[in-house]
Amino acid sequence: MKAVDRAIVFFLSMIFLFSGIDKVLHYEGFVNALRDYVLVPRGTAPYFALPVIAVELLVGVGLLLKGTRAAAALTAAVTLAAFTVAVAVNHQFGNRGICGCWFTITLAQGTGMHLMQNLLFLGLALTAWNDSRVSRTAPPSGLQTNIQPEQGGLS
Amino acid sequence: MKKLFSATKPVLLFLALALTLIGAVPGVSNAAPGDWTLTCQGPAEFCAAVDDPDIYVEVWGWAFKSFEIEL
Repeated sequence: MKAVDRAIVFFLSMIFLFSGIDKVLHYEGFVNALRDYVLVPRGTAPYFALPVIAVELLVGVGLLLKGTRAAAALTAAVTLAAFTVAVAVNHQFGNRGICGCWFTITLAQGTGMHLMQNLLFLGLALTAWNDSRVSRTAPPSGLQTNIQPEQGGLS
Repeated sequence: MKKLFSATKPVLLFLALALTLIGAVPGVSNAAPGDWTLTCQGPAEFCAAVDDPDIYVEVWGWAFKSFEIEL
């Protein structure tokens, strides 16, 4: 695995872990932010909050472990795609309130820049998924894969 | 194609890192101190009811009116 690939995986993992822990620490604020999302039906925000946090934390840990990296990267891509759609719909039709992320640092809004950031994260997650998928299917270096059939075998 | 794909990775990473750092600066793509438009997160009728200058919470040292009020 190249240094840049390791950096991408580590960066994504830190983003998801920080985001998940941040939401745990500001749980009520996150639920309130979810209530402001157009795509979240009224009254259902508390039921979305826990699964979102759990997925973020699991993806963050899963990216760090080699055995679960591919699945975690794919989950990260799907999650980021869903977040991007939710933020985009809110940006277009909603109150443009707080996005429910980065509470510890600031009160981030679902702006165009936030959408761009999410799309970049999505691109990184897809590259991480592709790399971990390829590295899982590729044979270890030095192993001969082009095995010739034995001469004079069963016919 | 593979080379192009590999070449885009560092660029993607750099841009994502840059936007993450920029996004963390108050007032750039987020709330600035005293930004009262980011107040109530809830139905309009509820927000109108709690539209009271005395109701606020402090987040990271800034006062945000009625932000984390229990609905």
